[in-house]
Amino acid sequence: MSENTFSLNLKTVNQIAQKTGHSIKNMWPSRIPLILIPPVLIITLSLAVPLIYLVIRLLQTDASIWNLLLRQQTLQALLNTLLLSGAVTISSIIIAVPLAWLTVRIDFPGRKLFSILTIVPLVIPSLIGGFTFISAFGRGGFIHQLLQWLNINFVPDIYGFGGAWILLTLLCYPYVLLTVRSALMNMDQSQIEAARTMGLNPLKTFFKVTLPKLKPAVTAGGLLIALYTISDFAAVSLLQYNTFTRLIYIEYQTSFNRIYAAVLALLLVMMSLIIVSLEMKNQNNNHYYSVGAGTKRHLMKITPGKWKWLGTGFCSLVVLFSLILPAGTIIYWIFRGLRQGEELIIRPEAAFNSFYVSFLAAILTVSSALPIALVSTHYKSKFSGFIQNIAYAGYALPGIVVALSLVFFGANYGRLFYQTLPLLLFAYVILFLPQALGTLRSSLLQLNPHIEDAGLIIGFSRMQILHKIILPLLKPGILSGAALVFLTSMKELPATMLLGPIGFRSLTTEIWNATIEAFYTRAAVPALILIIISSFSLAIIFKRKEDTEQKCQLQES
Amino acid sequence: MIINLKNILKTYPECESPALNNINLSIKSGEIITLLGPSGCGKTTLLRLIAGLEKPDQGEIYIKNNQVTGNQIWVPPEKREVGMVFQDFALFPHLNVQQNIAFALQNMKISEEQKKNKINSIIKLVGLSGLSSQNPADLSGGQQQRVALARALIQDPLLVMLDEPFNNLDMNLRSKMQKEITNIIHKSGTTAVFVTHNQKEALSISNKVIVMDKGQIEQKGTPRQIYEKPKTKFVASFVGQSNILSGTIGKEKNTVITPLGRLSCRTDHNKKPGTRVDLSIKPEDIKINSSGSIQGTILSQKYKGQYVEAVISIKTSSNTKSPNKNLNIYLTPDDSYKKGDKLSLSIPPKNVNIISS
Repeated sequence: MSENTFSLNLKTVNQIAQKTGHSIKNMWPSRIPLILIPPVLIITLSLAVPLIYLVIRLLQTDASIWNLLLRQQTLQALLNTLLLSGAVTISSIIIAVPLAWLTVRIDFPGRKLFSILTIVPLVIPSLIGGFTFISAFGRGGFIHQLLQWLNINFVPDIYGFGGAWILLTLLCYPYVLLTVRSALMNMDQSQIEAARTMGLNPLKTFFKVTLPKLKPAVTAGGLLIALYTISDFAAVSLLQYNTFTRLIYIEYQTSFNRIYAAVLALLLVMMSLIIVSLEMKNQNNNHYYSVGAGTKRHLMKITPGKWKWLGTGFCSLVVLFSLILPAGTIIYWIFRGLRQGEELIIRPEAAFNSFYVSFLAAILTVSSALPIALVSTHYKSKFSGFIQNIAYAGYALPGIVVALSLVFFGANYGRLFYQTLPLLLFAYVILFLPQALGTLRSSLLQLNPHIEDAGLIIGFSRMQILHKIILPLLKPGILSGAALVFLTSMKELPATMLLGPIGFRSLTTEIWNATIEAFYTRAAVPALILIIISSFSLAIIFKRKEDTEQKCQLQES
Repeated sequence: MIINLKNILKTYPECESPALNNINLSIKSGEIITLLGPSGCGKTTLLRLIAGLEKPDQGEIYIKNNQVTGNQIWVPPEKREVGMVFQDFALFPHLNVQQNIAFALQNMKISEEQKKNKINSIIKLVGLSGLSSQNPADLSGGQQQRVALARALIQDPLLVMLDEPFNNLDMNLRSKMQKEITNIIHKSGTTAVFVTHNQKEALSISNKVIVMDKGQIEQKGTPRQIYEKPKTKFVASFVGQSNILSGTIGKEKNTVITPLGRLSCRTDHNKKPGTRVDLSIKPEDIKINSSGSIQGTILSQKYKGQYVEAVISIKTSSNTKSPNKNLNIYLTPDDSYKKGDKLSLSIPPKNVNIISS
């Protein structure tokens, strides 16, 4: 069929879809077509294999699991992980809630600029955060050099809990900022005014009306941060704070009996599953929308008078530490390297590997996500719900856990694949399938269902509908899902280190090695590249969110 | 006087014409007033200025003879003792019915016992007994509105203001709630200001109507005065339908020369003969009368249920420029007139209303 006839067909289909409206229903069979079942089953099973294997392996072991579980080291790691994620979550909330309130409600100088700049730290992966933090404040870092130049012999102790806490807070607070900002922007001005007419002054109104309404948003953002913190590997490892992820890595590297690492990995998975389930509960319990019909009135800006520079000051301080300092550090090392004539060019093989592997990961992940997305959007049943949940489980799996379980699996059953590219790609698919699935599902759900009904009416077969209607309309979703997986794979560290073929270098492993060995100039250029890449992935996510919101508004009106 | 507004001027940034221009208004204790006007006429802005949710550019506002706005005086909304029911009700979704109502009491210095009594009696007054522990999201539109009203009334405000309160309710519920809400307000004895763009609503719920257009007050008066004796063309056409004619005051007493010929008119004007004026005549006041002096032909008819709206083409007297003038009149559905039928019409003098030109 030529391009023209196809577009004509699509047009007729659209017209019929509009005319028939709601009259045609259930033209899709309720059962999943046979042709989709094998790929869906194979993909879902392979996704579950590593974790199942980890459990089986543990059950077979003769060592008493209880002994392993109750080791002092385990309890310490548990305590450390809980302490860090609690501290990071709380301090992020303390920074982000005032930031959100300031940038949404107060008309202080620079408000518009700061409402963007305060969110930008999201583009800094924790590996780069760790690198800039150490190379700024650590021994030999540029603050240390500056102090030496001033004849002050002092190196701040950045390792351990304190450093990890500060660094992760600076990297994570934007998650709460985003959720709280959007809650504030959707808030109804009338409720605030109602409280005022009922005798509450502005301060009391904030505590009695505004704050309770922000609770679900704070909880959602806070849980994201907790999940980020417990799964984070790079920042805690570089700053040498023993949480589960670091301990798993150390055990993996040093011990011949890897059972203990598996115990830790399962504990970590349980923690993240708890957080994810809390997150789901929070979403379901979210009754805090405004009641009553009619359009909401957006919050009015408050003109703060003589206090306005306080807002500017607070925002500047946050942006200085979370954005300017890391960016400045990278630029400092690049310039220093240039001046001292050091070789700045990154190893071409590292850059090539990163691009090449991420490209393959994107193709593989999106192709695996597509059948699952189709089944879960078109055939609502317990089975499709189950498949979807398994696919989303990767969201709760920290990279180090997936890496470790695949190491086990590869070493015992898949000798052929052990330390080969396919195994690394497999890890990427497990880790990033939820991202691709999310993008594809939201594109599929936005398609007008009557378009498919109309296709059936004019005599297309289901395969033709898939091929001629759904896939072409899905193209933007497929592309942005693939781009997202590509960009996230570029930033991945623990799986790349554990599963990459021997001698495999990528941008992330280069930064890791250079930071550990304190060759900061060598880490600077790859870090810059990763930050740029990371900004693209963030742009895609925001664009998608915006598009979805626009479409929803269109559908409502 | 409960409320006094003097020379209020308010212009929103990025708007050329003022939202409110030279508003002077006083509200007596116990009055139930409606601010009536099309969207964007400034009626909601007026409420917000009284409540202290917005500041005027100029002018003074007094509540119970105490100045609250103007001359560098500013009393914040929480200290004005004014209750407000918002268009979207603005209930707090995180609190149940009782907590929503009790919210307004937290700053009052009265005993817990008194608070409890107050809440119980207001819940009874607005008819929400048995629903106190429900969440607002689980209530119907009418119930939500009762909560909003209870919340506004519980602090015994000097004045309760309702911003388009019936706008978000469907037709049936709307007329039911109009009756109930006005009843509750009568029982509570508070002064009330309604804002609406619905003229029928305005005429039926209040004892004083203030018609506004383009930021200015067009006319104040009882519903009857506003309907029967509109003072401006805008009021005549906005409150009910009106036929607007231009004419000149005649030499003979209480007559006016119009394109329809010489008509006898109301006596309550003091215009000199020869003055050019506008007249308003309601369609329902034009009667079919075989001895009537106005002759016309039916141009079109529209069935409206209780009546038939007909457009009559009148041959005008020879000295006017346009040869025909159309009049809207109402026929009873039983009359079986056809298009093209000739009719003789008469207008009782008391229904020929002179608008200052």
